[in-house]
Amino acid sequence: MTQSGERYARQLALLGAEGQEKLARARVLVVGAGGLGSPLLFYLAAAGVGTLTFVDEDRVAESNLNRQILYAENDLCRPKAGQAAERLAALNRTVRLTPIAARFTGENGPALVAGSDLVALALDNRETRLLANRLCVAAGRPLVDGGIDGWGGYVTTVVPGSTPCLSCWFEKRKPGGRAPVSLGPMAGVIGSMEALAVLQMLLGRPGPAGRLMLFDGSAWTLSPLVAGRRPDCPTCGNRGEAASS
Amino acid sequence: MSIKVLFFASMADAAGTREMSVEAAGITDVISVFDRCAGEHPALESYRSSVLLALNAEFAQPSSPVRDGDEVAFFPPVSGG
Ligand SMILES: [Zn+2]
Repeated sequence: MTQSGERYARQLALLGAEGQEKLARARVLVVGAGGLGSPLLFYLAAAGVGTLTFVDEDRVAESNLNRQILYAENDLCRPKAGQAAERLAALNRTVRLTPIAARFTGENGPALVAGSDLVALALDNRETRLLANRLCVAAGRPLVDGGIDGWGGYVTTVVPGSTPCLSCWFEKRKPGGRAPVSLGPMAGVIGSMEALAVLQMLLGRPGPAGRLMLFDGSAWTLSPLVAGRRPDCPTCGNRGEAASS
Repeated sequence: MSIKVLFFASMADAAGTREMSVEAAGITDVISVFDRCAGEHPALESYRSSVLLALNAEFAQPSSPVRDGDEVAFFPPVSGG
């Protein structure tokens, strides 16, 4: 029952007590608790991130169960946010969990972003990604994003004022037309990479910041794409280094 | 001489290959490389407005100029979760 030093024994050599303390003090907002959000939230809670707030408006459906490993058959039809909180509390009761069973919008988004040190996206659509990106750039919060479709996936970290933002990367291109195809392990790979990127940013390591890391699960390749910020970016263009202008 | 083209994930399935080379003659920019590839592999056409483009491993736009010997890569849009 006691919380011994054993819980983090295997990672302390990597993080140090100071790094572990950084994670314990961190407040992370995760938007989406589905295919990507499941491994992402699992690993952040397991690693000892102190405060996890997560937002998802959906209820657990049977078609989620091929990849959304936070949920089981008993959870069908229940709100994901609440079920995720139960599962994560069972994993690590020292984490402060705030489940929000709602859609992430321009109304609730600004306060949620302002109340966090870092935002991680686990979404299934381009619009909400760009909305969260705008709020993070405006608030100067680092952002980790990932996506999957078929054999393809990506992860990137945005540091406002320093790296390209999600508008720089994606806004000029249309999102895919059809419904995304999601094989469980692809969500597992990309969601886990997002967790890695989040932990690294919290520890002061750049991880994939400034690079769009493209995973091809068919060819088994991971390709970094680099770019500068777009001067004409509608979201971060003409912002100063501290994103304050 | 020619331009090397790489296809990733579902676009490799659509092209039926991960890699091809196109004659540099008549190629001016990244989208003209796409035109050439889609002409040979029509299943690529549906990616025209959504494909992510790279030129020599740097993020590129449809109008980014392409020269002989360059490497162009096409990634499908990935917005699921
Ligand atoms: Zn931008």
